[in-house]
Amino acid sequence: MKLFTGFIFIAALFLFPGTGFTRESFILGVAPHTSARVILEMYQPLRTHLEKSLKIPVEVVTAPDFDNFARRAIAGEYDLAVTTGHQARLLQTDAGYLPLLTYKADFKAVALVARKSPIHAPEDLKGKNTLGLSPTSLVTLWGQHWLADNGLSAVPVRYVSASDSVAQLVVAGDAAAGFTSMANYQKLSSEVRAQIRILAESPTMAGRVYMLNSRYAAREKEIDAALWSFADTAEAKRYFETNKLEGYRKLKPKELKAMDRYAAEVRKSLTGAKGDK
Amino acid sequence: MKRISLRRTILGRLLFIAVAVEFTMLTILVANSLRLLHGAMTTQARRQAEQMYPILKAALTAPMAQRDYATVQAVINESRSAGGVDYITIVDTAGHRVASNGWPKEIPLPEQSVSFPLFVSGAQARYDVVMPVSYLDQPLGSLHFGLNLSQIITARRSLLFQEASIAAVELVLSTVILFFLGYWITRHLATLTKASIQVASGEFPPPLVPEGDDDVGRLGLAFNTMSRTISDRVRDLHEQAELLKQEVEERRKAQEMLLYQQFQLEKLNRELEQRVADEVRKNRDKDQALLQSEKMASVGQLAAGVAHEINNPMGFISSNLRTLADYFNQIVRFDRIVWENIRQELSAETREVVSLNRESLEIDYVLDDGVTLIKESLGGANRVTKIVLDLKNFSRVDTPEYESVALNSCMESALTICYNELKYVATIRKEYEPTPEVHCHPGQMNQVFLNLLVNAGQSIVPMVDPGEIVLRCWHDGIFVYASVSDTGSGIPDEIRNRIFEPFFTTKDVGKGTGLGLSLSYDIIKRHNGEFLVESTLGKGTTFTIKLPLQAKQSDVDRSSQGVEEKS
Repeated sequence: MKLFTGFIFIAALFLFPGTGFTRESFILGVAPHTSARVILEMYQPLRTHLEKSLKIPVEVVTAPDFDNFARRAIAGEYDLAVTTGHQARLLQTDAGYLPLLTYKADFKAVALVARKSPIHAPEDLKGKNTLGLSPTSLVTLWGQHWLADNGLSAVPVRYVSASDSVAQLVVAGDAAAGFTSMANYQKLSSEVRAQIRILAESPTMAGRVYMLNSRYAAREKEIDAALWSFADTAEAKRYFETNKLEGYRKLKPKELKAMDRYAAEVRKSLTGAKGDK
Repeated sequence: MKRISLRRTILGRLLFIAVAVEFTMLTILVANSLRLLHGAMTTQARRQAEQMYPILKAALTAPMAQRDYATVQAVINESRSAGGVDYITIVDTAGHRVASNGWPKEIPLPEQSVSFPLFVSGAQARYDVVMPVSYLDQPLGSLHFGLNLSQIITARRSLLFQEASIAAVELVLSTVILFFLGYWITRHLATLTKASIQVASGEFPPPLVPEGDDDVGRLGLAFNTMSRTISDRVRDLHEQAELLKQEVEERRKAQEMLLYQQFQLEKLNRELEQRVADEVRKNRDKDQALLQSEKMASVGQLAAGVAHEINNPMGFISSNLRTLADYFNQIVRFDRIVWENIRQELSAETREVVSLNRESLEIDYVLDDGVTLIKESLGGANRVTKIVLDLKNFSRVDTPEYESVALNSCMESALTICYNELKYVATIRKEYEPTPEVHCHPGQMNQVFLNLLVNAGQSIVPMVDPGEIVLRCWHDGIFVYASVSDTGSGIPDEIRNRIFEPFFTTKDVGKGTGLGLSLSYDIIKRHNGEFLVESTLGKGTTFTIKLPLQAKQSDVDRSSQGVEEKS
């Protein structure tokens, strides 16, 4: 039987030379909180470190949007998913992912308006339009809840793909306000930031959480240790400093459970919309 | 003038070289153009691939990272719609084709092309590119696309056709132009060649070739000048050659004359040498003959002297003996008468005494024997007289040189001389026929027969063979023959031709000089005779002399003189 299997394998190599043999990779899925290139660039130090530590190829992937990311994550495409708290809670509850750690820096969502905009209070947004990243992104969901809490449920939210685009569109006047994360706001260039101001910010929420696919449960400690050892490297410190993430920290008890409200929104959104796969 | 083929003419070779050079250069030009075209197109295709790659990579990086394969498919669809690309396929890191356009799913993707197949046609005119899609150090997948090279190949074909056409037209035009150019340059060469051939064959002066100010015209001018000079020079050479020819002829005649004179001189020299040799031989023969003659003369004179001295006593001895014989006969007759008359008268006693004395004294025997003794003595005296006479005859000191004699008498004289030697080795048999006398030199004839008899005696081995020597003499009305035959050892064939050579002998040292037969031969020749030899080895030899009967003194003298002159 082994001989037959080997023969089939070799025959397959000859019949499909274009495919070749590819070693199974460890897929590090990062939620598309920014552009794909930025995500790839940000996570290259971690990828390299994990490859060395786990001794397997590691790929950093993302998704066109949060919905797709969530769907793929739930489908088990990612071995280690780095995503917002509410999606992490969804993955934990609906897909059996194991929460590992998160960043020290507080994750907050902010509502940005143009610095010279006449909007100084939430009610000033009445009759205006706003921008969000995607319907199921945490900042967008917070924004929508913030609008609803301020009696502005009717204010429409238009979705764009990148957080920096939100700031640019707000500056350009395409929308009265835009929702993004504090971290992304802080990463904006000084010129852009000089043209915008924060209208409102959320309370601290679970930001990006590292969720391990349950099929790697047996190596959870190893992978967790690898992540913590990465935090001690110079590359990690530079990464944390550059992205103002301050380092890793363990999840607080019930920190993910607090995201159930938003997770439900995502679940509802995913089940209501047709998958892209 | 024989027409030469084009390839052997300057025009032909010029054309061939020019066309060959131009063909080579055009070939190099076209090949170089194709090479440059190939290089340029290769560079262009590679650059196109290199330009496509970063664009596609930039466009594909984000969707690949996002695994947004719909976007990836849209990107490659858009990219291929621009043309120039046969297919685009994206393979992820797991080896799955995540997006493809233009390449069937069931066919494996081609490998990276190693070269640009610009010189092939059809579906193979494609450059396959396999490039990784990565960002930073992270592989995202691979990009497979095939550049369509058909336009490049079409352009290459068009360029090749155009360049080949231009080259062919240029080659034809160059050939035509060079042909007329070469013909214009060499148009006078035929005339020049014809004139040169006439010059070479000696036809002077040759026809004038065209002259002018251009190169060919100057060549014609130079040729005309040269041909005139050569013509003058040839004329001078002809004259000098004629003089030289005459001189050579004269020298040849002189040389022939010299050769003839040399030949004559050599001939004379040879004749002189021959004459000297003959003279030497003749003188030697004459010396020998003279020596022999002197010897014979001495012997003859001695014999004549002895004969003369013996003849006188022998005269009165013979005379006295004859007288004594007469006297003794008278005494015998007287004794018989006395004895017959007195015997009766005597007493018996006396008669007895007388008879006894007579018997004891053997008077009767004495008387009888006395007659016999006297008779024998007289016979001996006569024999001595004959010997002396023969000696005188042999020497012939008292006879003229030539006279008519019978050859048998000469043989007898010779036999008398040597009989004492011959009688111990052979018996002598004589078979003389009556023959006319022959006019000859008797002394020389004696010498001839003496030599023959001595040789015959010496050829017979004594006490071994009962030798015999036969002397014959006969004639046939024209010649007189005399022969001496022996039963000796004979003459071997190998020396038969040499026995008449002077000083040739087979006898022991001291027994012969080798001159006997040589002198005898000369003597017979001087008598216009012949000397014949018949010999059988082991049985004997016969020497025959043949002398003419009609020979006159003058002939013999002339012959003798001739021989002497020759010798």
